[in-house]
Amino acid sequence: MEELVLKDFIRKSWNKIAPFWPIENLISVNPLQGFEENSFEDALIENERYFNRKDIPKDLLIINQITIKWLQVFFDEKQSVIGMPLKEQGFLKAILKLLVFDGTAHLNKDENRAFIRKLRPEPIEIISLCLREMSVELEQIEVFCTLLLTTLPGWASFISYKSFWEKSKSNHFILNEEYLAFRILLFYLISKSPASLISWHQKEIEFTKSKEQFEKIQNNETAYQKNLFNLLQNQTSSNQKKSKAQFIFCIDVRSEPMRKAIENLGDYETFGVAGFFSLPIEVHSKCTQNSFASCPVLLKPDFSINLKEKKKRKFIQLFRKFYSSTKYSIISPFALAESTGFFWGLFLVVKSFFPALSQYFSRKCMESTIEQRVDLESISTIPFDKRVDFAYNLLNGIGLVKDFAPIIVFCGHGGQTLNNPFRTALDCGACGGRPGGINAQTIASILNDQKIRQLLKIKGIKIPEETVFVGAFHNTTTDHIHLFDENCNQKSRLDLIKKDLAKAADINRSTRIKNLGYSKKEHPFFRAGDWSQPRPEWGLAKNGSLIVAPRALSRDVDLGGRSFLHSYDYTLDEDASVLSSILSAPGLVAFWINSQYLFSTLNNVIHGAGSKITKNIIGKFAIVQGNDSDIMNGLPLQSVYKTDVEPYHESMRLSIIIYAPLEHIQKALDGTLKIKSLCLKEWIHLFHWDPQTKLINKFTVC
Amino acid sequence: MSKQINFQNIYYMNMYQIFIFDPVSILSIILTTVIGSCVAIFSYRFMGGDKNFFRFHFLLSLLILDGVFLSITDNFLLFFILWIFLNTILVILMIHKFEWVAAVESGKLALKNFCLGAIFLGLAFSLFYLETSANSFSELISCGKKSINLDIGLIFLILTAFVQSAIFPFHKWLISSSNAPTPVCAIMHAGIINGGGILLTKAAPVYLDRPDLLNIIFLFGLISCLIGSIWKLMQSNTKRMLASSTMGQMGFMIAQCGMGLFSSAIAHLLWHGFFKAYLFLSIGSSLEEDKNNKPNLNISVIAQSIVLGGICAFVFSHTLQRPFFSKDSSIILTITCLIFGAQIAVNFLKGKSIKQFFYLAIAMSVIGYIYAIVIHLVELFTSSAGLNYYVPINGFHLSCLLLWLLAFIFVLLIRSYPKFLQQFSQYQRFYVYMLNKSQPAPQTITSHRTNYHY
Repeated sequence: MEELVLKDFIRKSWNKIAPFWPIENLISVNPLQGFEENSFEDALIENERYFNRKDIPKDLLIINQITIKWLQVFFDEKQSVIGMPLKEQGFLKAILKLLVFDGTAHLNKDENRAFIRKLRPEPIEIISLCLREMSVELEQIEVFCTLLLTTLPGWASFISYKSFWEKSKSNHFILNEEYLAFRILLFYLISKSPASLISWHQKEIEFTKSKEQFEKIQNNETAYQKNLFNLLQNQTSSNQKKSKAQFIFCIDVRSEPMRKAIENLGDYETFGVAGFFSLPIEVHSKCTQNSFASCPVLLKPDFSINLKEKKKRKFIQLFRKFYSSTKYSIISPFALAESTGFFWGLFLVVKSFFPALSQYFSRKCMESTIEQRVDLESISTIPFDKRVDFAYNLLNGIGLVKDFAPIIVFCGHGGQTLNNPFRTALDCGACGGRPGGINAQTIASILNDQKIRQLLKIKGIKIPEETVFVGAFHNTTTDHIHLFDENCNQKSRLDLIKKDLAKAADINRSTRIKNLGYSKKEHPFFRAGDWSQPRPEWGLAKNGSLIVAPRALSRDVDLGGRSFLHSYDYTLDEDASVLSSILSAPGLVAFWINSQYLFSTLNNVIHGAGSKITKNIIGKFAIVQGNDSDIMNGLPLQSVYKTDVEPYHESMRLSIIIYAPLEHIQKALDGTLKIKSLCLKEWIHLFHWDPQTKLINKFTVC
Repeated sequence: MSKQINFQNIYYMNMYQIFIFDPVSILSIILTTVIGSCVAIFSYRFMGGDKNFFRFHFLLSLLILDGVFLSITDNFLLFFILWIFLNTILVILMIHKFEWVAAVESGKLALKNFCLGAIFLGLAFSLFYLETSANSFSELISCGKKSINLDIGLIFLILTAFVQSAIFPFHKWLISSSNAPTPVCAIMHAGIINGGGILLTKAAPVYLDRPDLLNIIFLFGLISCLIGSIWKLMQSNTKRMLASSTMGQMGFMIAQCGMGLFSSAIAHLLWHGFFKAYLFLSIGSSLEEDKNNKPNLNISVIAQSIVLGGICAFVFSHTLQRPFFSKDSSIILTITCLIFGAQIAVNFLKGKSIKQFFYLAIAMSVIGYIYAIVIHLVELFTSSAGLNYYVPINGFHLSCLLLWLLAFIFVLLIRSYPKFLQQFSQYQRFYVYMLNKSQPAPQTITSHRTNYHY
């Protein structure tokens, strides 16, 4: 068989798999990304067929166990101290050498051992050899390969991330083929009968469940949309006076109630834009030598921003070094346990019986993400004209080109939680699953630069001299907003704003407490610092719509914290290019987030991470359940369910509502084929909010 | 065994030969209640929304209560009943969700294991009763009789302890136990598993009279300690890493018993209990933990770190008022402390600097002092029970300790020169062998997602 044909089959089987990011930056994706070509309803059926089969053949379970065992040790770079030998030579090369010694794989048969020995580490060669040996027919190759991937979906997703999405591709670039070769090899060694696997897959079964699911989703959507449209259409937009301050928030659904609370307190104006503030940057810590991208995964970070770190962190680093060097060794852990046991006992008692005290100390000792400061000097490493471009695109995109208030606050956001491996699911999705305070400080500092303002003036954006930009951080768990105002000269004005922000936070917190029926002891402050709390906040649960419109139009409506709000003024966007980019970037991210929540709620076992109470962590990059399992990609049960049986999130598809003329939307859609096709296949509902009639109607894509 | 042990000391408040309040039982109660209550408070919110919430808390309370009574029970029959009850509750707590096949399987595995333990315990107690007509531990100790049947009974008691403390070859259940909810893991690894150590300590004076039995205990303790430690370093799975670590720590504790250091063993299980409970409950934070860096080994660093380790060990033994080069079993603690100090030093030493050496020397003294104090606290508390009897060191001990040091050097080499060792097929074979041995039982793995159930 020709190599190219085989490669095409392999590519097609990998297309069925959605990528899954490691837990340290949990990026939401549509778990059924591979089925986006199908209509949503059909994809639900395919979902059942590929992922939700209970009667897994026994051979396959054994193959899965071996795969899990080897992949764990191969990809682990942070947990084990005695790592897998030879792994720097690449996956297949290492595994072929070690598999010879693995009795569980070659079943202690001499012919199997000899077979492994004579293989060369060329994935395509191995795949075609095994296919030939098992005499798989040409038309069945694709489905066979796909099945080998979809029967261990979590790991396949992770490999998909490693080979197609990871920024620093070291030696993983043909990993997808190597992995498939490994799976086929195991299948050859253990099962040898692809026909039975394929006939198992093609067995006719009733897919009643997907129908039920689809109906439920539709019901949820109709009820939500009806209510939302009623609110939006029937409000009277009030005239905006000149505002005291303007706030620019992330489009995140948690910003919406906060914005409303701030606006209600006085002459404040708010905007919504993707929370990385159009800065493709990477954040670097000199202290830990770690860096991470702080922008959407669709972008490649071009510039590096340094953190300004405090001294006290050094002492903690010393203690951590002492701890990790003695823990991961032989003999010394015994002395470590004995000599420090007393203190762990003390921590245990304090954390359990005096939580307030422990929170006080942890605030004192640990540097939280809220306090992360930018080293302002590192901003100048971004070329000047790039900085001007970033500033211009941002302001123009949200329609903030005139009527500047004296104070303009950029508000990044992140969650606050302890002892929670899923903590990045609470952070800013636009910042690549990281807290967005850094981006806010950076953009504020760029816009405060008089030279940049002069150039913006030439481009038509006239920022008054007295206007000051301030970076801020919105803690979505406690609703506290922290202003980074050290270098700001308008102290008196800022003090007023701070007071109002505190009030707004209080209002928003009380609403949340009331809506969720929390008792006094479950106050958000307490949740944020409680190491046993599985639900510090609800994250983006209940999200349902993306509203692309000027804020004034939704200002007086209670959207219930369920809408992504992107500020957009079609009159400033003649060629619809801004709208097109809103749809293709924040729109797509909102869709990913929405579908992650949707499928994690629909079936938490196959598209969620399962319960936090039995979670286990492998290699510090992924979650599994219990002793070992497939990588549990998705959100944990506790993020979308109130109890084991009662969901909190309502499963529904994203409704995008755009305030612009019809032709305008059509033009924008032609610029983003991805969104267009998603709308066409009913993965997204697109609505047209007519500026003339103020009515909202379904937009039919053609 | 020329020195006479004062058996009279073990009589404390003995209530009708049923309950006993000696230092060991008091420490054991402290451990059980502190960890139990912390775990219960933790799980109150952690398990929120779980459909078995009430059953879980009811059983957890029963488990703690049972543990408290077990700690102070002296009577064989009551001890036996409470022992079985304790392990049964633990198994139900471990399974938690009976719909999840893998969890049920690991529960079954543990149950089989505990049944074996119960049989051993029953046989041991019956033999004690038939041979000495003793009804309780204190009677057994005070009778002072020696016979083959009694020795067989004592071996059964050792086996019970091995089963409970997951000592090799009874370790599989522990390695396969991570299907249990995190709080259950915490109380299991910090509390229940110590049962073996407590059991041996209850009969300590009898064992101190029988060096051969002590050697058996020592040997198996050391094997577990070695295997557990090496497995721990190989795991990429956090909970399994902790489970292997517990196996190693229990091995060390049992080996301490085997060297006659029952009081040190109690200190170990107490402090390790707090340590492990904390680690399990804070498992969600393990992502933030630093990766251990590769030490850079050269002659200067090795020499300096051995000296620094020596300082640590010297302060340690001096504070405990023991000779630095003792010829009895207390040397094991000194060596441990020396290695501990050297291990820290290896990771902190960078190049040659007098100032750095000086700072580290001060740090070593402080660490050695703190270490000695926490050990001393427990020994002081249990001193009246006469549990520490320094067995003169013999060739058997020495060869075992040598093995231990070799393993230490081996691991240091693997970590410092991984590229060198991995080219040998013998090492590759060893790695695969150990990796396979450290895997949980296959039926307790959730091989396909749809088999998972919450």
